[in-house]
Amino acid sequence: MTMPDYPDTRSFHYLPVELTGQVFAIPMADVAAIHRLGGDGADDLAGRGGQAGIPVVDLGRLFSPDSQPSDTNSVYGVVISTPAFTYAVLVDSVRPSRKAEPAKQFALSPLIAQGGCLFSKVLREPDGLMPVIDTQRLAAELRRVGPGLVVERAHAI
Amino acid sequence: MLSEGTSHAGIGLLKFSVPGLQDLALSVTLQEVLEIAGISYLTPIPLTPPSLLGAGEWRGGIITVVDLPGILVGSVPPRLSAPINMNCLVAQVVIGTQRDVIAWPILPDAVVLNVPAQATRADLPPALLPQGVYAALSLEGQTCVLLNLQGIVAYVTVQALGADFRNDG
Repeated sequence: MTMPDYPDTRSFHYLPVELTGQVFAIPMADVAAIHRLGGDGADDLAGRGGQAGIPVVDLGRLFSPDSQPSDTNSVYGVVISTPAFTYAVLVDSVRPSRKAEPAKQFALSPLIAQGGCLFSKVLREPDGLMPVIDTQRLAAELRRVGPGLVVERAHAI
Repeated sequence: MLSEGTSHAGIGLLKFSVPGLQDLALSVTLQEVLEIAGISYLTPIPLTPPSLLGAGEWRGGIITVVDLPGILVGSVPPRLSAPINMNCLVAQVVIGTQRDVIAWPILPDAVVLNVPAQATRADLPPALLPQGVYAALSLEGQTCVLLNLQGIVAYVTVQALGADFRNDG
């Protein structure tokens, strides 16, 4: 018997982050911690209790290699953690988390989504579209960019 | 914006030009054209091929906006720094087994033409992407390039799967 397709009525809880002048969404389910940093962001994050040893990636430089490193007095470190991996990214700013109703969530077209696109969908916001970071695909990209950028977690058998 | 061409039996084409290639007349078949519309909130998607300008909103849905001049002549456009609105030609294509919709910015000079089935061929302008073009036609003393949208989609797909646009730093 074929089950009918019921519409997904779940809201999507996300963290808006700003980098290189654009706002992106990180699924809140994957956000383990948010730290406001100052000075050398990487050292600050590594020195935090419980976060030592997690490499920090400048997400703005990854998304836009020609962009200049942020020279603001403070940036934010977002620790992304799932049962499979952990990594941390630097962003320029963080906005309060929000929820998007299903009607505000849109899949990317096949032309964009093919080839391992790092974004799972876009959200329709009042002031524009917000790409949603696929944290698993971002982990795969970080592994490709540099070994050790992602802290892997062993699965218990 | 659209004006009717001479009416006689033949193939319906939409002739237009694009920013960056203003001197080149381009065309697609009318069956491929969905609309000429303003695309709002064109948003760049990082780490996608340079030929993809980004995602935009159209009729309540999300479509892909491509850099047609860049695809045809191999130039790389400057990356958008912020979402913008622009007037685009919206066309339908097939990607794999799925129907998809793409768009690209155009100039406000589009015109519908009825082209005879035996229209005179012209020499293809040099340096155009071969797989993106069906033929060049001589229409009223002007060369008009008939685009191969499926070839253009295939070109972008190869770019995406090759991932040669990503920074290996």
